[in-house]
Amino acid sequence: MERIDQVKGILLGVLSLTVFFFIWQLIAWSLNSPFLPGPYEVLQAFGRISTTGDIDGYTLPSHSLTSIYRVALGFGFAGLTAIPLGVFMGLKSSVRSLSTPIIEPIRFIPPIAWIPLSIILLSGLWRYIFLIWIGAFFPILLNTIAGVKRTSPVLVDMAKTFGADSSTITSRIVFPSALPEIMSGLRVGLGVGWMCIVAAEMIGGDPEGLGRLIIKYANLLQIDVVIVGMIAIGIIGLVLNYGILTVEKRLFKWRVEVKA
Amino acid sequence: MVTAIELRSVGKSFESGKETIEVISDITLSVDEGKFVCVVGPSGCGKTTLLRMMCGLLQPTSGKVLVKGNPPDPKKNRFGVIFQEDSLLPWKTVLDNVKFGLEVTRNKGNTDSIAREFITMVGLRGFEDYYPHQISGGMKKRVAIARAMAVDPEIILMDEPFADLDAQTRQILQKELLGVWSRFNKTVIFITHNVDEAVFLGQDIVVLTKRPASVKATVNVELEYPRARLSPPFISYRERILKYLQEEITAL
Repeated sequence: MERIDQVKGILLGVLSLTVFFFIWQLIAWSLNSPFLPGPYEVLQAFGRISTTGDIDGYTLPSHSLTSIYRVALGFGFAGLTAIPLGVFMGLKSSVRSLSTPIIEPIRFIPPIAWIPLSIILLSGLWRYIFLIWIGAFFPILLNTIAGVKRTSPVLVDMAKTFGADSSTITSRIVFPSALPEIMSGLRVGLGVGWMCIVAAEMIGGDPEGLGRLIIKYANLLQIDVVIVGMIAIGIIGLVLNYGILTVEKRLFKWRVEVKA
Repeated sequence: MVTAIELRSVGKSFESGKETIEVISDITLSVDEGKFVCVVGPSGCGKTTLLRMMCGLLQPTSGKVLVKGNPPDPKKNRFGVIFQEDSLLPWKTVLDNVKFGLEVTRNKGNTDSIAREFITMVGLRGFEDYYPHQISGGMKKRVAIARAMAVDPEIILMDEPFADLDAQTRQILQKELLGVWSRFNKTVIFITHNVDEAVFLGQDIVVLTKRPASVKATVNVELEYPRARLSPPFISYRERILKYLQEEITAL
């Protein structure tokens, strides 16, 4: 039964994509505008940008890798800062009270609003790292705090009765029990970070990166390449998300699977 | 007889806002090594608080708890505590759960083979690589017993460990627990509100009063193991303890 359901799922997916491209093509035909290329023209542009590169000679894979590299760095920093801080904040209510008035308002400033400051204050790669960090930090932090606070008290007591000290309890009880929440924080953080990098690249001066590719061709009014960039962003985001989901499933075999 | 644990006029109160709630007023008791003692009392009378003081998770407000002459300290003493709630680490397999206690108590020697030995003892051989969510409630309790026994505890403290289990599984586990106890000759303090369970298991039964708790009576159950639940002396012990408890409940 599960096999049949799977095949059915794939067939439905293919069907919906086909319908989507068909409608897109239909609209492109009927509008007949140079600003709305159809799927076939976008595919051609995809081939062109992938192999011969854009007007500056950067190919689509190199744009993508540059963006991924920036996100990886910023996301890495976000994880390294948000997880320890989140564990600390989750464990100590005094730390939580101290940091909440600072963190809470900052959390609601959209990452894009930080772009001007980061362009003025930082240079080169650090601008991008900072913006990804701002975007990815809060989902990771908040999920880590929530996960830590949800640690079952009986597990902590159990460890205490065996004579565990507080660092053992943190590393062997609190952290592993919060890990599922931390991982979903990482997944959300990576998604937000990925969206931030594109916005940042659109404004930052560097000629490489998917965001830059879109802006360059928007200025040239070559919308087919703009759409190529958009699709690349979407697909890479999807793959990154799927990657973390796979890691989560592997890591959390012990969790009772909730079936919808 | 060597005294395993001693309580000298132990009292405990908690601060709750402006109020002070006295949970335990004055409990004095002493348990000899190797004894199986049950503590029964009306629900909410502070049995769990008592157990937490016995293993050093809580400090008494007044009086003294002494384990072999010193205040209990899980870093120095070795306790085997079995909780009512599921206390297995859900991300660890049965084997790793049993090893956890050994590792934390910094037990030298081969934790792996000790853990396997105790898993076999509780009848879970073949389930070493299962995760807690894959086994039944009764099996989880067996794992918790194996984990507690593996550290070679000085005292085993059990807080209504079988309360969440169905009647059948509970009776099976009671028998198994007696088997483990007679084999290793450990001191067991077993908290329960189930009178039948207390008479089936305990050599001594300490009956507590309602809150704030003190000792209402100590009953020495002079019955051979295994005890027959339907035998007249068993029933008369049960009646006696139930009467004590009823006096407490109606006194509310």
